[in-house]
Amino acid sequence: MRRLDLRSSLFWMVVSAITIFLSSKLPFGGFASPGAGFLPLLVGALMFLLSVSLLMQQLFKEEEKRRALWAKGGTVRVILILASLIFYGLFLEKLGFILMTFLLMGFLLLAIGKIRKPVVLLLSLVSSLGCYGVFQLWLNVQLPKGIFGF
Amino acid sequence: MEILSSVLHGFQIVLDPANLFYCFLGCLVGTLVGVLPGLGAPAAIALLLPGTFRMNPVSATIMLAGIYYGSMYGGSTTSILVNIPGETASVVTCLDGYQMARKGRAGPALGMAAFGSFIAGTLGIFILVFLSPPLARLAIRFGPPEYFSLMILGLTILTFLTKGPMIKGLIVACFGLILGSIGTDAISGSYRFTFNQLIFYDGIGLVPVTMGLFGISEVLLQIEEGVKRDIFETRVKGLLPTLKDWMDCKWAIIRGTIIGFFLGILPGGGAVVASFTSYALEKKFSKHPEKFGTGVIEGVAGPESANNAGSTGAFIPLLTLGLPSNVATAVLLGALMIYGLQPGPLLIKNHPDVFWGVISSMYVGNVMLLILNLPLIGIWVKFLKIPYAILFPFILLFSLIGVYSLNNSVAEIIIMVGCGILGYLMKKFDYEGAPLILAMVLGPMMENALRQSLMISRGSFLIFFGRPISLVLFGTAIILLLLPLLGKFRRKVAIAES
Repeated sequence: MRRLDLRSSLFWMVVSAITIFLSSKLPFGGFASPGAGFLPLLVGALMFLLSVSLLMQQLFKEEEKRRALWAKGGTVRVILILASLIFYGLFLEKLGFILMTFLLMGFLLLAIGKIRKPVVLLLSLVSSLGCYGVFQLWLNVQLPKGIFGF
Repeated sequence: MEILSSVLHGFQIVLDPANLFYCFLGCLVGTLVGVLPGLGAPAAIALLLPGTFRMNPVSATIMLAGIYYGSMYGGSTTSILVNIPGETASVVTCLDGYQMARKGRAGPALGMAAFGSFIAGTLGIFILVFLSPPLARLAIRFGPPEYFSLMILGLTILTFLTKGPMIKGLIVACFGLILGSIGTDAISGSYRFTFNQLIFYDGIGLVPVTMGLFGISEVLLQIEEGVKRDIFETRVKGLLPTLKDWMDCKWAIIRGTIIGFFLGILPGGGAVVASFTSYALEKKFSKHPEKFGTGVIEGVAGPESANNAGSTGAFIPLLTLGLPSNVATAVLLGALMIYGLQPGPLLIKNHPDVFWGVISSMYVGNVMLLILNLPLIGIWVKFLKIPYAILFPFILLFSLIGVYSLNNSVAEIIIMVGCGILGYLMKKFDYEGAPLILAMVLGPMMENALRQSLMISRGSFLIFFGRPISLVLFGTAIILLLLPLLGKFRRKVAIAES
C-alpha cells in the first residue's frame, strides 16, 4: 500500500499544482469581495498540502507486503474495452447509431465475452435495433444517423 | 390537519394512473439495479435521467426516487443468495443472510429482509412527513454562513466515514470541488478552466462523471478480475418468516428503523452507515452475540430495516435544505434542478405537488416493492444467472446511450470514459468516489455561500463562528477533522509510555 500511496500522492500533487497555476490567472479578488479564482486557489493549495502530507506519511512508513495491482491477462481486456468505447464515441456521429452499436456489441460479446458467434450476431442485432426502436422511435431521443442515413 | 390534507393531496397525485405507472417502473428498475451487482442506484438514476426530460417533473421525480429506495430492497437478494452485495448498503447482510441460505433458510432470510424493509420504509415515511415541514421552516432561517457550514459538515462526515485514511477522502473531495468549479462563475460570469471548449462552459455534467466513476469503472474491474458468480443452488421456499423469527426480529427492525432514519438525515451519512451501525448494535444487544455471522435472522432484519429507513431519511436534507446526503441523492438533486425545481425550504410552498407527490409515492412504492420482492423472487434469481459476459456489454451500451442523449454530444462520452478510467484507478489505489461526487455537486453552492458570507462580514471568517447554528455545524466538522489526529497522538503517547 505504501508504494501505491506514494505514487498517488505524487499524482495529486501534480493535479493540485496545475490547479494553483490555472487559478492564479483568474481574478482572486479580496476576502471582502472574493473573485472567480478565490475558491479554486484555496482548494488547490489545500489539496497540495494534503498530498504533501500523504507523501510524508508514506515516506516514514515501513514497506508493507506488495500486492499485485493488475490482474494477469485482465489488463488487456480492460484496454480493449476502453479502446472500443473511445472508438464508439469518435465514430458514432459519422457511422450512425445502428451500425456503431452493432459493431460495439459484436466486439464486446465476441472478443471480451467469448460468446458463440450465432448468439453474438443475434444479440448485436437485437440490441442495436431494439435500442434504436426504444430510444429514437418511442422516447424521441435523437440518435445520430451517420453517413448511411440510419 | 394541515399535514393530513397535504398527504391526501399527495395521494391524489400518486394515484393518477400515469404516476402509478412511473412509481412502479422506478421500483422495478430499482429492484433490478439492486439485484445486479455492478450497477448501483446513482448510475441507474443518471442513466435514466435523459429519458425523463420530456416527462412531467412530478412523474419523473417519483420514478427516480423509486429507483433509489427500490435498490435498497433488491440489494439484499444478491447478498443472501450469492454472497455478493448488489448495493453497498447490503454488504453487511451477506454475513448472516448467506449463512442462512446455506442452512436452507434462504426463504425466511429473503422474506424478513423484504418485510423489515417494508416496515422500516413505511415508518420512515411517517417520520419524514412530520419532520419535513418544521425542518423546512427552520431552514428558512439559514443564511449563507449556515449553508456553508452545513455543507462543510456534510463533506467532512462523508470523508470521515470513507474506508482507509481520511486524508485520501479529503484529497478526493478537493478534486471534486475543483471539478465543480469548471465552467461559468455564477457571480462574476467569467469562465474558469474551460480551455475555450464550448462543452466546458456550462461545467462538467454530473451524469457522465457519475456513470464513469460508478458504472464504467465497476465493469472494468469485474472484467479484469473475471468474476465468476456461484449461485447457491437451493430452492427458495417458505418466504414467510415463522412466529419465532418475528419475535427475534421485532426489536431489531424497530432499532434499525430509528437508527437508519436519523443516520440517513445526516449529510454524508445514509443507508451504508446505517446498515453497519445497526448490525453492530444488534450484536451488542443480542443474548448470543457469538452466533452473529453464522446465520442469525436479526443480522438480516436490523441492517435491511436500517438501510431502507436511511434511504427515506436522506430525502429530508434533500427536500428541505436542498442538500444531498449521499451520491444517489446528489444525482437526484441534479435531476430536480434540470426540471427547473429548486429543492430547499421553499419547495413545500412553491411546488407542493412535487414534495407531497414524492412522499406519498413512497408509501405506494413500499407496497409495490413488497409485492415485487416476495412473489417475484424467482425471477430476480433468474436475472442473477445471466452470465456477466452477456450483461456487461448491455451495461456499457445503456451508459453510452444515456450519456450521449443528455446533450447529443460525443464529448460527454469521452468525459464518461475518462472518468471511468479515473474511477478504475481510484479503486485500485484505494480511493472512494463518493466524496468526489458529493463535493462536485456541493461545490458551486458552497462557493456561493462562502463568497456571500465573506461579503456580508466584509472579509471576516469569524462570521462562521458568530452565529449559533453555523458555530455548531462548523465546530462539529472541526472536531471530526481532528479526531484521527487525536487518535494518532494517543497511540504515540501509549507507545511512549509503554
